[in-house]
Amino acid sequence: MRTEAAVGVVVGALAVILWWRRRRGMDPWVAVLPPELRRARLVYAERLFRSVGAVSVTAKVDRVYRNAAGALVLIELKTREANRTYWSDVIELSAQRVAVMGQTGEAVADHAYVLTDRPDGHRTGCHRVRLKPHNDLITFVARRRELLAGKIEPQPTRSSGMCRKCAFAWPCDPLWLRSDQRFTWSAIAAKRKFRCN
Amino acid sequence: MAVVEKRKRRGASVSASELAQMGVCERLVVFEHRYGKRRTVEQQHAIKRGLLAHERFYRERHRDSIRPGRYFVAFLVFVRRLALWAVKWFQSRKRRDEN
Repeated sequence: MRTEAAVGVVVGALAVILWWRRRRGMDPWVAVLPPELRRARLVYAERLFRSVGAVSVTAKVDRVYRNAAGALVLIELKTREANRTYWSDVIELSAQRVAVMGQTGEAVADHAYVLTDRPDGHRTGCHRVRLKPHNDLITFVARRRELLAGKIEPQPTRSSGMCRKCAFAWPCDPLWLRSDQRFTWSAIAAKRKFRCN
Repeated sequence: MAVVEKRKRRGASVSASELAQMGVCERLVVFEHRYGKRRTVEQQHAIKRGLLAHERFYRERHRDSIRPGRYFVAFLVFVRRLALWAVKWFQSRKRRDEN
């Protein structure tokens, strides 16, 4: 009888420790997902979707959960040093939303989550982002078409850090740094310093 | 620096990651469209790391979506049973040694 009581105390203490760790978010099972999705059902994982219509978008989603309201919620994993989201994450998830809605016909929530992992694999955060409406995405696709057709001038990034990592920094930067000279493709072609394979 | 591919299709469907690149740098989008994707060594390593992270994320898909409550209770019941069995085994062994 005394033994059973001792075992009960030990197991109870263990339960309290585990519960406390979970509350503090130290349990990776729980910490990985936002509260909204902790009890949600996983519907899709690493699946390709394609929408047809005004814009044809293909997207491979990392995970899709169904929340308590019955809507699909997208999750995207990003490996980066900074524990933050970028404008490109919002665009990517908005495009994923259009593709999933287009193919499945189901309601997809107008918000999504970005999980950030450090390059060493340590999970750093879970960020909720509000997605752009469908019309904005159509405008975006149209702008991209015009850019590729050479109808409008492409805007440079606002982040100098991006330029440091960019493989095209060499032909791009010199013209960009000179504010008096506009960026034109003919200028690059004239220099003939940059060749494509 | 590696040339990954040269874009050939035009007017086809656009991928979410291609659209996302518009939010990074429009010039990069145009450069890659004209000259193909080019990756620095650092970027290639980052892509490999990202792929590995996604593989891990995929493998853990069911672990993350389980309902911890049920498993938590099952775990505790199992631990309690195991602990009781271990204590009884030690007691019986002690008695046997004493006899």
